[in-house]
Amino acid sequence: MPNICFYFQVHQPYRMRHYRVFDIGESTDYFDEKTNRDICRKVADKCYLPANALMLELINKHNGAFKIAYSISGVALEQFAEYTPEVLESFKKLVATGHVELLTETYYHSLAALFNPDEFREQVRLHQQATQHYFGVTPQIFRNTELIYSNGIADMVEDLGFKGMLTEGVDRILAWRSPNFVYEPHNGRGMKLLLKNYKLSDDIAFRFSQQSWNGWPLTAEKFAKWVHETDGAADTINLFMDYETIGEHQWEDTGIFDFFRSLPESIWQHPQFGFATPSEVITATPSMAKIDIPDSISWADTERDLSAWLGNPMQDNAIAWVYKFEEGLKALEDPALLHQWRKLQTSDHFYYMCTKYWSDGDVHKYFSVYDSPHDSYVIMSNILTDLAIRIKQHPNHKPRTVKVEVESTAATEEKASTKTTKEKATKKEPTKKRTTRVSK
Amino acid sequence: MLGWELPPWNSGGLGTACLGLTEGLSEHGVDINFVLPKTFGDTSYDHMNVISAVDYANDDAIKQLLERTDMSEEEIVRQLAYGTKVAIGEHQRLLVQHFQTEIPVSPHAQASWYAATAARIAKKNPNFSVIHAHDWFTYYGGMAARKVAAADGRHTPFIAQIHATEYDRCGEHGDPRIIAIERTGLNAADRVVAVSHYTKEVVHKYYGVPRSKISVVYNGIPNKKQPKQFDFAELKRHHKIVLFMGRMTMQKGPDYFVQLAHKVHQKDPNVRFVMVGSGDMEHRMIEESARLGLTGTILFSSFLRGSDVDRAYQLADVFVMPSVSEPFGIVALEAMQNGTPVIVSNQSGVAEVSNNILKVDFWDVENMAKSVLHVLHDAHASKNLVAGGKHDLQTLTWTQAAKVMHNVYHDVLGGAPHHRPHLV
Repeated sequence: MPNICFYFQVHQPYRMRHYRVFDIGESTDYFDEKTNRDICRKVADKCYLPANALMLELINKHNGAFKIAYSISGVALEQFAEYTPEVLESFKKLVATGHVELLTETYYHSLAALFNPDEFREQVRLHQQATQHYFGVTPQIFRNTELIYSNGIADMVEDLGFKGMLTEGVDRILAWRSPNFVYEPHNGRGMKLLLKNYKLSDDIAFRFSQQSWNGWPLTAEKFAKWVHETDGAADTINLFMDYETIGEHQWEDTGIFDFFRSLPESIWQHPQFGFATPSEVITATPSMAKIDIPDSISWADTERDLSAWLGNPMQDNAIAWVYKFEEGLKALEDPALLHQWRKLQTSDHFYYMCTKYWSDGDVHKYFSVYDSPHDSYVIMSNILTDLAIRIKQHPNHKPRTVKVEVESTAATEEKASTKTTKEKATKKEPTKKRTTRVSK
Repeated sequence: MLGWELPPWNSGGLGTACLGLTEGLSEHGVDINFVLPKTFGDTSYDHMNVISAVDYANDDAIKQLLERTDMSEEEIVRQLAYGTKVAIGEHQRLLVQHFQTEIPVSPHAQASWYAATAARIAKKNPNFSVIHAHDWFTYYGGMAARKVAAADGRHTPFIAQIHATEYDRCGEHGDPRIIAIERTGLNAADRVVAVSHYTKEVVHKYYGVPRSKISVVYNGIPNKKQPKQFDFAELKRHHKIVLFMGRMTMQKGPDYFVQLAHKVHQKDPNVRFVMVGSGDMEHRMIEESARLGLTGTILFSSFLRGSDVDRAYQLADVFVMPSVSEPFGIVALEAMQNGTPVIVSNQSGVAEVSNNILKVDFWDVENMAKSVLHVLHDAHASKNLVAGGKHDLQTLTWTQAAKVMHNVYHDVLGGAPHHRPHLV
């Protein structure tokens, strides 16, 4: 029997403040506490609190027949704890029902999987600790930042002991195959893959309130009908999206809350259909095939590759520089400074630097707190210049171990892989664009 | 005096120069009415009276004229510039808005709007003996005011001062309409004042103004003001800093500065470059610096105001002004005042005024890099430049500039000693 597998991403970055040249050497205050607090508060009121209340209502009402999964980035958890503790409490309540699964991701919502395997594993471990600390559970399923995935990343994740992993159901990878089955990595040793059904997911996440769309207005009945049409050709319908879809990207007055409220019953109109968590799906469903994904894919933009975060010289050089700090910083054994550095790894900073669609006033712009992609780059350059000085003047600093000078390009390996994915993505399909979840 | 802007509401050096010059002139006993297109907030100065042109723009015909499609712009301008009674209401409001936001509207419409109001101001305040107009925007206004005085039977000389020509700003790609206004104004003026011999030659070469009609009055710096001292112990302890300060436009040569950074970085990777300023080339420069792998080597800051400007000069170990064409370049003097060694392009006016400035051609990045490294690595040379520069600054003041300007007034008024210039 086909199940709907809902997974929601919950994330808020630490946005950088307008750190100036004059601040270098003078201030380690890199992040905009007021903006971060205000945005957390705003999204809590519009999305997290009312959406969590709704999900709890549905789970209780249907005695657990309705179930969902979340991953909450470590930096989001931290900000909830500090700025909106009631959000954290409401997530705890949801997890305590036993019908909500939590997934692991990198604590800092970073691109470490692409740049530094050790750092990646460290951030996965930190996220597991945080999940254990706040919720008392240890997830078995992994979702990488922005659903970024490749054969190599799958290898690392499986080595860490995960039973399953989520990624995007990219057409150019799937070709004639359907995302509605369970797959395995190319070199998999038993770990399973769940692929996002982006058509149905994006009907909710992006097109829900789009009046020019011929599916508008989208009712739970209509959506359930589309889901039911997959019968016989589906084991699982993976609906993966930003949690902020509910109430923040799609405002309450679009009817998004009512849609979710009546969705379970509409789905059950067909007796063969139900809901399942990712763990339940991979346990109950055998793998259909191994799937080969040599170049990184993601759920972002129409390209569904890495070009939202990497590819222009500002992005490539800034991120290459960020990762050059690793050795020098870790040698200092200064957890506070390490934490500062890691907060700079959050993918959103590089997303803001994206110039792909800038002129169109596209989603990148909507989700940025800066006036232009260049601002984000300029600010990060200032901050990293300061960080380099912090390291040099640190009491534990041993001069010979530090490598913080910028070299002319990003790691050549990364360059090459970005280039190939970009070339493959030149056929643009201007139907829908993925976003990250940073509300303004 | 007809101007465009005054600090603190200024976008660049023109406002700074007008303020300095008028302060100096008032020390020489000159009474000044300074006309601005529009004033903001509390714009009052002790040394002169500021008039907001907007207050005088209130009749109908400009609107009608500006809406006509059967006349050439030049014809419209001619009619407007001769004191036609006009008011433009909403259109006027929009024009003023355009002046301030620099949204390109027809330069003729701007200049002629200003001319019409200047004519009205001249009628209401007829007690002036010299008309002094600053840059193209005001030249028709100067002509119109002279015409008003002539109608009363007074000969009132019109001095067109040129702080920057369209050729300086845009090279060969200037707006031909602005160039036409400049040419008309400069040739109509009784005297042209250029801020350097470099600019005198530009005016002669591109606008056909005879050299004999062009006087040179160098800019200066405020003589009283001593910059506040800032402390940058931490950043300066780790890096030598090279500074660019100016609008990020073709004229200022920011692209040569980026090339300079690239060259110097190869020789001394510990040097940092700071580019201060906004402009249409800003984003391109940021992208270019990243493309060249100069992330973290070149740092950027948008336009700075007030004491932050001094702060930036003091942060730097050397200031570089690679302007492609710089009529003067007050920033170089400001840097000297802040004790920072200066390198400027030969294509600048300020290169003429001090021997304690290093000079290179703007396109000669190789040589520029050598000069930068020389200043950064030779403490003795750097110290000498700073000391010599401070000495030179003693005569590069607005008081000094105003003294020369006062002589020009004297000269255009026929040398008659009883004249006490009173300026529109």
